Amino acid sequence: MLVESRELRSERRTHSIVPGSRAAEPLLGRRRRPARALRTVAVVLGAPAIVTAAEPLISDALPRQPSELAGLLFMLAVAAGAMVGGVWGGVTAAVLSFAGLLWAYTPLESTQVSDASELLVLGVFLLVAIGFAQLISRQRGARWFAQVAKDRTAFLAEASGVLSSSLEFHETVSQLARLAVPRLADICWVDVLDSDGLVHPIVVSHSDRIDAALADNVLHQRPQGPGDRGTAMKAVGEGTASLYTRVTPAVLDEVARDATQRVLLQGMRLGSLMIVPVATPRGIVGSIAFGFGGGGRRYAEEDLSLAQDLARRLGVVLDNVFLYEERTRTARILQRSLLPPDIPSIEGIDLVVRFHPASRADLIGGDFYDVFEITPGTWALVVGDVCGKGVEASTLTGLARHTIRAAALRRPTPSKVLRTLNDVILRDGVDRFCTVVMALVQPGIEGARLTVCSGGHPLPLIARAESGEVDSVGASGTLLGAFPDPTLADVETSLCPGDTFVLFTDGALDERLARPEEQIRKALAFTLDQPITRCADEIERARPLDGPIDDAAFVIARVGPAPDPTGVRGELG
Amino acid sequence: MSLDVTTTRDADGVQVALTGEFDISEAPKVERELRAIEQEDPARIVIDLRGLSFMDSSGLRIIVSAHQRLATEGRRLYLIPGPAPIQRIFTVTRLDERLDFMEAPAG
Repeated sequence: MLVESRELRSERRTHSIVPGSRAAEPLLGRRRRPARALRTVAVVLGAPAIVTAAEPLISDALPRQPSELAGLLFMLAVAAGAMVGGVWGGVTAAVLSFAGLLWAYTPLESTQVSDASELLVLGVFLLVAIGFAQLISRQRGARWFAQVAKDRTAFLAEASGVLSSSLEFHETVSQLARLAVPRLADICWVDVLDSDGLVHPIVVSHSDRIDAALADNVLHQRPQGPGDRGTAMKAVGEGTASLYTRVTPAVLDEVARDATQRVLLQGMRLGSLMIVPVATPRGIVGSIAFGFGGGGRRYAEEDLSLAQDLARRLGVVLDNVFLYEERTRTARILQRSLLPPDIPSIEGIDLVVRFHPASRADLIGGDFYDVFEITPGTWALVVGDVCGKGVEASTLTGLARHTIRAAALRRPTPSKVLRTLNDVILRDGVDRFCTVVMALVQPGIEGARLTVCSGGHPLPLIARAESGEVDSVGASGTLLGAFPDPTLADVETSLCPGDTFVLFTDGALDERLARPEEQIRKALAFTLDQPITRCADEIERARPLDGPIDDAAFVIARVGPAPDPTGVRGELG
Repeated sequence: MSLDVTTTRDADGVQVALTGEFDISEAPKVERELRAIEQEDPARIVIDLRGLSFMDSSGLRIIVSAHQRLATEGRRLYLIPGPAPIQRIFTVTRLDERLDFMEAPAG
């Protein structure tokens, strides 16, 4: 019975039980089945008995002379013994058959072999038979080892392929546990070292030889700290691999970190156990335990080396996983630093900001937005798009956002702010551009005043509450960072209560997708009498859900209803 | 998904025709070609955008950089306009006013 994959938490500490692989062919551990021992005894004892019993009938005509047929039967008995029982089976068959033949040829009344040359012949015969048994047994062993070596190489090749199929930590570790069962183990669990130095069991996979509830309990063990006992901690702390061919009570004492785990391991009735460390270039990150339950399979030295080889491969793959995770984390932190920590609330204006980070780390850094108060009652709304992607682009994103904030304090019109940004980028000497749209909003007694300037950016859209019409506002300007004298113009418009406007990035320069402007126009018209969050949802709905997605930002603002004449907000106007 | 760069030289100067997608992966190729042509000091340099199906900001940057390099030497870079989606990039960013677009030669 294989337990369904189950995820409890999404972090690295996530625990899960993963089903083992379907292949039933065991790769490790020779089974010592009682049936085989019986067969060996039967052949070793039975074959000489048959030879002995049959011989007098066959060689009646030639008393005291081993016939060719008797010799043949003798050799067959030896070969059968060697094939079934190994070299000792063959030797035993040879000796017993020989004794039987000797008994058959030697008259009861005489205990002496009469002819010395006959004795010599029989002696040579016995030696040849033993040599024969040895030969067969070796041949058979060599073939067995060759097959096992081939299976292992194939298994490791498959493991490398499967393990490197994901760049997600938990998935990669689960793959390993899945691979191990049932070919390498009846139960396999992985303990992982976290950043606090604690070791957690995170994944377990098992076959039907292990009780499912007990296997599940492996995941509910408390984490282990540096002071704890147990083989897993030793593997993680010292990098030692441990092999327990037989799990005895003394072994359980050594392996278990505490009484609870000892009870658990004992309950599983493990027959044989290996625990190996998982090392990456940056150190040991965990350990893998392989166990055989009932069925008599036992691990040997060569199994330990296979397990270590597998752990090494996991280590190499995990190193890549860590690098990738680190890169993604760095990118996310960088991205967060490029955006304002929180969006202020503006009195008299409803505001929604939506930002979608790029779907891949190498796509970050393009779009940005900002909302800040310049002077009391005057707010700046900014959306921009830096040409290019990745960390290089994001350096310009940072420069742009901070320059706009600083410049806005001294030069209160959008076109002057953007001109300053243009100068700063040119002086920075970077061969890069960006497009920015900046809007100043001044909420008044009835409605608001809006001043817009675009530096190479798609113009904002306004949906008028009264007419329901959607129009762009502003005059297009030159993109920033390319020319010392950009064309930039401020356009003023007044907004009535209920009017909605949207600043957006449309990825015009970097996306192969259809332009979202049409979508935004439709969403605005469609949601004019609904909350603006609804409008934001509607715009987002149009974004594709799969494939690498560029980042995207939009700011939606709606002028609030005319205030109560007794209100205080009029002072701002 | 790739870009063909075809350079022809005649008495008028050098013409570089771009066909396909002019994106970040192809930008270095075009930049090398343009810099090599600038070294030759031809009478006129023309980039033909008619064959482009896509251009991103990297492509735009190569064109603007070449324009500016030539402008500092008192020379000009001419562009033959591409299809509407390509031209839209130049109009939104108002680069259509700054760069030198010319009509496609007859034939």
